[in-house]
Amino acid sequence: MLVFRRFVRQPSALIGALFLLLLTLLASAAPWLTSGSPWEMNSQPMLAPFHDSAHWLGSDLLGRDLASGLLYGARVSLAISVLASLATLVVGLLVGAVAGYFGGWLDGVLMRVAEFFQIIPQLVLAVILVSVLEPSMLSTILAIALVAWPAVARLVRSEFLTLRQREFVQAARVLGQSPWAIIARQILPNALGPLLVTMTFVMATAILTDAALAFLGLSDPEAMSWGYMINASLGLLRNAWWMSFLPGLAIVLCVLAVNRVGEGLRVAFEPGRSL
Amino acid sequence: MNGLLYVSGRLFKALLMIVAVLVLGFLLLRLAPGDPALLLAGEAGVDDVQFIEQLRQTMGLDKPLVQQLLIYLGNIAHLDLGYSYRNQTSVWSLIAERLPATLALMGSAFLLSSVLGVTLGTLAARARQKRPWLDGLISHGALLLYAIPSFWLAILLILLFSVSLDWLPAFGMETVAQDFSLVDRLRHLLLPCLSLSMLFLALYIHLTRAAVLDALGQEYVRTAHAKGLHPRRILYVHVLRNALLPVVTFAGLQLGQLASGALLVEVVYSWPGIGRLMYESLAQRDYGVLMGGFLVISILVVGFNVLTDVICRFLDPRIGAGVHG
Repeated sequence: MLVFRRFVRQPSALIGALFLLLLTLLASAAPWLTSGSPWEMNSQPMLAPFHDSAHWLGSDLLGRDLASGLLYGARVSLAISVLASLATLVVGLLVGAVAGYFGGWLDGVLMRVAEFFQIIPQLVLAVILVSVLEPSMLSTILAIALVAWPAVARLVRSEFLTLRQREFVQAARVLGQSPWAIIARQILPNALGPLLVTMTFVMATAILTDAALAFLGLSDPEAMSWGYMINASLGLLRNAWWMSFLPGLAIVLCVLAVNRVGEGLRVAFEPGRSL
Repeated sequence: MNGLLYVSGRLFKALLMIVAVLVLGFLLLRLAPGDPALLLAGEAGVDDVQFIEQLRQTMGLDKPLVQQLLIYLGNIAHLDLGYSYRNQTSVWSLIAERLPATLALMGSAFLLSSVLGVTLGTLAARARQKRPWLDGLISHGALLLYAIPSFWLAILLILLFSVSLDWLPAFGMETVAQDFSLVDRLRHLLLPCLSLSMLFLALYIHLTRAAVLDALGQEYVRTAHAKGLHPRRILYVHVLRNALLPVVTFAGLQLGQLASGALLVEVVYSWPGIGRLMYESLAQRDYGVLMGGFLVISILVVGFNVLTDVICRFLDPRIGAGVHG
């Protein structure tokens, strides 16, 4: 509760959290808020924003409503980035816990693998994976998890390395608790703060990676997304600035909000260490 | 001698990483659903049965997986990245042709972001006490830049500088049907370079600021002040030399990100580099070129990573002193 109070006392973190909440609500309510499917060609093409109250953010080359596209795009972006973050968390947690708790040669090997995935061009690897597996929400989620897990694994490992020396963990070991019980009940709850902060970072990366993949044409062909909307606007920069501007703005606001929440959490968990 | 040992150890590690890249690329293609020979021939481009059978034999698809991997590694060692049937030429020659454009883009963006980032980061750290507004401006500006996808920034710059103001070209590397001119090239490079630089500018500002603030609080700085050294000398000789170490290490780790960003920026500007080539191959399902691009970029990145590690080692008096690399 103390953490919660410290979090809401920071204006920028609070605004970020409220923005994400609002966006989630709007995205969930997309079918009721918009005139129909984001793919439906229901207006005059290339309508500029604020010219038609029925399509107040304008329309694209095929007369598809932009506001509807943005809302449905929010559903896809949020769903993919949350699921991809969870997948990343599972992989990172497993690898990091094993490396940090058991140590030794296994730790050495796992950390070399993590380093490898951090050094190679991650988006390029994600592009190849999605294209080989065929673009879909699942392949996007897998690709993000494949390139994002090392950050989580390294953090979990270093938390474990420090925590396992602490007295309460050694006491649990003396009492005969199994390694997995110690990991789950003693160490993890104490690593929660840094882990949550890292997860916001992972989520920002997930939003950006998902957008980049969709921008390259590697998204589920059935799902309207912000990256896809920007891709579709590429040939029309001279004629319709809003087609690329609005979805990009949505991405930036979303990432900024997630980053602010992360910074807020960091300060809330460690009030002493703010720089 | 110590240093030589370190460098050769580091090179060996780089070699291992490159082999790992190759194995990863190999597995990605083989584990994909469908026939790798069909994938490599381009899904619909070639439907000559005899030809695909021939491809299957050169790739050794009838042999066990490990043997296939060895054949693949052997081919790469001879710079044989395969043949692009879409482009009717070898993958290596396609990539080699595009390599200079990508290197120019990445190199210029790296230079711009590191020089400007270190300058602004140092400025922000020094301004923290006396001019907090300047520190705030630089830090918050960096935060904003950090959230902007490079491909969207590229579009914004085109909307501003090419569409509205009509100052700079938005397409390609040179004006078509014109003799080579350096000014023309630089005009074409400016927007792509800016678009790619901004994310890394933000990272370098953030990192330098934190490192300089950290170094300013160290005891050797207080000692230097007590000795009566000029503050500027303290900054350049004592603080920056130590503060730059994490920045250099970090630059090596971020080169992969820079290459990823280059892929996106090249797509927006039709910059004739490896990224654009890969984007075109994506639409044509030319997996040989995609894999080749991934390999070449990864090798570049790993190589640069070794370079920064070695530079760091020789910059850092503490590492050089006695610790075995």
